[in-house]
Amino acid sequence: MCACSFIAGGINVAKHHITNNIRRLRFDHDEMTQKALAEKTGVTRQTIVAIEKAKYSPSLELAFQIADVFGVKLEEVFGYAP
Amino acid sequence: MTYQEKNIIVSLTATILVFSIFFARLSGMCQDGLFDGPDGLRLIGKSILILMAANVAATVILTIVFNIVFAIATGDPKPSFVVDERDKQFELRGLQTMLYVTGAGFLLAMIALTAGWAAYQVFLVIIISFALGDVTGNLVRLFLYRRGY
Repeated sequence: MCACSFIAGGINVAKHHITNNIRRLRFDHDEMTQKALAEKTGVTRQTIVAIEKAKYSPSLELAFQIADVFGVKLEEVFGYAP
Repeated sequence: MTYQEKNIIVSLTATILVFSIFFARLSGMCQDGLFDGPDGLRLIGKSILILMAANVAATVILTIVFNIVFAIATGDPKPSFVVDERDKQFELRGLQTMLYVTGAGFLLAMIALTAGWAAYQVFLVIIISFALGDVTGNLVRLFLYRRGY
C-alpha cells in the first residue's frame, strides 16, 4: 500500500487550502444530514464527508450547488487560505 | 465498505482468477513445447483472445452475483449507483496508474525482444504487464476509496 500511496498521493501535488463551513451550515438548516445534502447535490455521502474534512476540493459547479442548497453565497460556504 | 470498493474487489478477483488459470494453462503448454513450433504465435493469439473473452465473462458473472448478494444483504432492491465527480477522478487515477504499469511492461517486452527472447515470451511479458496494470490500477482506486480522497 506504500507504493499505492506514493502513486496516488504523488499525482495530487497541490495541498488543499480550501476551508468550508458545511458542517455548521448543515446543523443550522434543521440538522441536515450528510446523506440529505448528498442527495440534494447529486453526489455520494462519502464525497460530502471528504469535502467537510477539507480533504477533497469540489468542482466549481458542485460548490455552487452546495451554496444553493443552503441559500447562501459561495464565500459563506467556502474560504481560501493560501 | 462502500459499493464501489466492493465492486473493485469483485473486479480484482475476476482478473486474478482468470489470469491465474490462463498462466497455469500457458505454463503447461510451454512445458509441452507447443509454442516452439511454426504455429506457436497462432496459438498465443488464440489463447489471448480466449483470455479476453473469459475475463469479460468472469467480470460480468461475478458482478451480477455480487449485485444480487449486495441487494439481499442490504435489503435494498435498488441500490444507489450514483457516480459523482470524485468517483470519476478516482477512476482516472486508476487508469493513469494502469497505463504507467502497462507501458513499463511493454517497454520491458521490447527490451526483451531486442535481447533475443522468443516472440511468444515477449507476448507473455506484454500480457503480464496488462494483468499487473489492471491489478495495480484497481488497487490504487481501492486505496483512494479507503482513504476517502
